[in-house]
Amino acid sequence: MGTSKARTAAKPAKKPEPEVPSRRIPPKTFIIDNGAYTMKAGYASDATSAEEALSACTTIPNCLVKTRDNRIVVGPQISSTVNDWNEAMFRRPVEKGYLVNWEAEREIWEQSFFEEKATARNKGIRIPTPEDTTLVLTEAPNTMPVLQRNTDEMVMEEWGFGGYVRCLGPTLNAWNEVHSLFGDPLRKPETGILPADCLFVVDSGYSHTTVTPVYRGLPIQRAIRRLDIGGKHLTNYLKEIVSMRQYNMVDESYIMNEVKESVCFVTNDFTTDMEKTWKANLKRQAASDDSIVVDFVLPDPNANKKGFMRPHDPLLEAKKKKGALSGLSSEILSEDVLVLGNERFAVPELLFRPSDIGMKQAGVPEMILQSLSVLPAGLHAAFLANVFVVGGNAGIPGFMERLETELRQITSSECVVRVRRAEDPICSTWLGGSRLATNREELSRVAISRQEYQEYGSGWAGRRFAGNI
Amino acid sequence: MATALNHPFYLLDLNPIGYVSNTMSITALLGTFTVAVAGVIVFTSAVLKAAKPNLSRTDKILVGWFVFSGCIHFILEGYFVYNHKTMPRRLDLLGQMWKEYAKADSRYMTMEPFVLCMETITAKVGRWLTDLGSTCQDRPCGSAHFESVDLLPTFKSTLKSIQDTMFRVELLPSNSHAQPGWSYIADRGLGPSKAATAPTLGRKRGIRDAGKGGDISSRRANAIARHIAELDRENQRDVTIPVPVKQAKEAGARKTREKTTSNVRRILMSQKTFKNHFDDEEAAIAAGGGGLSAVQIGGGGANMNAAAVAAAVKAGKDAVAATVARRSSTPATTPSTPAARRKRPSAAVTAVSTPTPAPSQPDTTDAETENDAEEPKPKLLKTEYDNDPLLKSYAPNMPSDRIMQLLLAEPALSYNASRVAPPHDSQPPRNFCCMCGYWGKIRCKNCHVRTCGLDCYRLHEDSRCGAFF
Repeated sequence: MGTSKARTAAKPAKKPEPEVPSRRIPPKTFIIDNGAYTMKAGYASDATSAEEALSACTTIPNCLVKTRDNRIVVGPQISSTVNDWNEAMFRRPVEKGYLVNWEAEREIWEQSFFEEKATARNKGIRIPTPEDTTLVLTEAPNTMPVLQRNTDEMVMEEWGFGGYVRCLGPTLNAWNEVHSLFGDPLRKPETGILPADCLFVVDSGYSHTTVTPVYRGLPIQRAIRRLDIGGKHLTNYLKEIVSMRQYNMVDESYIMNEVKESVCFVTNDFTTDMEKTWKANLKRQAASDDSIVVDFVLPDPNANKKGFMRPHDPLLEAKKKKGALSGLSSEILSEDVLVLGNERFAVPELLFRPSDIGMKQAGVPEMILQSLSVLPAGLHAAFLANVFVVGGNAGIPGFMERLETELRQITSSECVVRVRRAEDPICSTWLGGSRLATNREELSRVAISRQEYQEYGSGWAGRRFAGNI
Repeated sequence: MATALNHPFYLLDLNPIGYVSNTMSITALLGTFTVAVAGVIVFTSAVLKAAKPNLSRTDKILVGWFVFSGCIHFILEGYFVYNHKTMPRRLDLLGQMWKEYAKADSRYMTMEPFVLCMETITAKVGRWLTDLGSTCQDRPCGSAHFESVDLLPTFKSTLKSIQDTMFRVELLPSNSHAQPGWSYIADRGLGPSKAATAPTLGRKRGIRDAGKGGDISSRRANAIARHIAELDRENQRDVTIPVPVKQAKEAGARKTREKTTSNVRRILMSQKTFKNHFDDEEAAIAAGGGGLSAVQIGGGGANMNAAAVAAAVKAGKDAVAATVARRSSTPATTPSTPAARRKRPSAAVTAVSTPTPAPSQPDTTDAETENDAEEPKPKLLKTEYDNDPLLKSYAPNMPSDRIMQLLLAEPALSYNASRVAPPHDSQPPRNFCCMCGYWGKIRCKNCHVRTCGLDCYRLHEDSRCGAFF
């Protein structure tokens, strides 16, 4: 069924009974978790196991890249075309977590989901007929209404999806199978797929970190809080430090992101680790195994080598000098090494102490308390016992332990504090959306159909998704 | 009898009960007083001359002083203590004197508790001390007893009557609200305009701890804001990465492209960044309209908010309903409240088979019927300690379903309102060495950047001291 056909078919049908546009939404559900760094997209499957469902999820960089040789590459083609990441520049349609620039986003979506040639390689996420597809699109909490409206209009008027749900990303996590993760008794299977009763979602992403108390799949808006530190800030901070201390890496966002992902960790004892990495203590500890200092060998696109981390070799410089004379292999001589000591833990520390860069915002554990403080006291225990961490930063080693320790310290001793990470923190939201889609009844309750949009317009859609209709 | 308005005392709304204005002029009063004082002094000196002709001049003056003040305390203040209830309407000599005096201190007109107590003590103790003083003054001279000693018993009997009035403190209507006029207030601000008045004692400490109290210099605040903005950037340099137009045509763009709606065209053409949208939103909020959000939320937003707040406060009381809310297997996201209420009793009715069709049942009965309908709970062992107050759990109850509905129906906060607040406990700021990342122990006197020691400081001074912070 083509677009034009659908319209001509819909119009005469609507004329006689304009009051009741069809509420029916197409059975196929496509879910896009439109993050600032990557978007997670794929068709919802009826698979019961998480692994099976996740196999339908594809992660696509949500950006346009301009490489060193001035080529511009759109999101989905990046992984196959770009090898040389030096001095790569990015343009991201999602700014500060909110979908702002539709000009770029439309191009990325077209290339990822709609165009035949571009999507030939990855048929799994192709949307041949949007009219027969229900779209579940996530947005960050506290999106400005004007941006929401733009999104609704683009989705329904540019592509014309048959059914459409726009919802807060964190809330979808409540649909995941979190009971086994928290060690709770499993629900009886006959109840079907339902969201968790109380789930406190900490979403630490690329642009910011948000906390959202989710009650039976719905957000409690008044308690949503945002810390303006995300993966981007960590990468940029590391970039800045390294540029100050070692090589100038200010244009190497992508490479520094790789460095961050491979070396950074959240310390549980900042002071001790700081002493360990002090330059005066280094010589003493050079031989010990638990040294924090590591070397990161920068990628070499000419030799087609990727960057990697290895234990610190304090004598590397001397070796190189000697080797240059005695003819050491050119590989070792040509490699560039970043030595990373306290940078490894001082950078992710920003999530817990934003005051380290002078930012006047509380860290993640206190943000959770601030969020709970505006809720009735009866809910505190339920939410504290179900803290669920998603987002890319949840993958930083030590993050979970630190969060649980600090949260334990600042909360009342009568409350049980349980902090769990999603099995796949990046795709967890998408997976929740996939499970929501299997609950047809609930999905059709929250979704709007194309006919409804055409009848009532985007203002109505906005109110509908805000829960006012 | 004069009304409260035309009395001469300060504090304009003072209410001297039954005030009658003086009949004697101030000159007459003062004259009488002077004559009386002179009479006392003359009488004393005459007595002294007769009884103790060999007293030295100093002793004579001292005795005179003691007798004089004794008379004042006993006669004048004793009068006040004795007649304090009727002071405003007294027209005898002493009463008029007191009224004249009260023009300077109106407390004497209103039975002010402190004045009353103080005067009582003064009249009693002051007179006693004066007597003792004048007696002692005599003693060293070794001759006959001074008359006043014989007078003591009579004084005592008088004082007894005074004692009755002593600790009867009566609370009067307080006049604590603002009065016209002015007063001195200690202003201990540290602002530059108060630099002159600020205590000079802790000046250095004030500078050193400037970062702690949150009042850092604007220059430093700017630097921090700039740094954070820097960390928020995608690329180090400003680049424009256009969407590759050529590619779209090549790839066989969909045919629906030409019939884009005006909304889509507007959105695609818009070059607005997040900041533009954000400024618009802020301006709209400041203008009182609330921007698009107000339109979408409609009128009900504020009402609901207030109701929910009130509800959350008394959340603890709704115990029964709350437990049900937790256990019940209502649909995932409970639909609008009336529908849910209507549905539930009917389900309960069929299960319990008691024909009580009451659609407008209150919440609690509702809950009870459902409790019955539920499967039996696992039985707990009963012990005699079940009602022990020491073993009672004081955990707050879950809020009721109604409160949760209100909480969930609240509109989203604005972007600014959802940002996390500064940390509650002001941890001392941590400073790091700009060169090596270790603790920043010393501060460069030119640019205020920290370094950890002399090694790093020299390096900083040689190459990077920018002198501009």
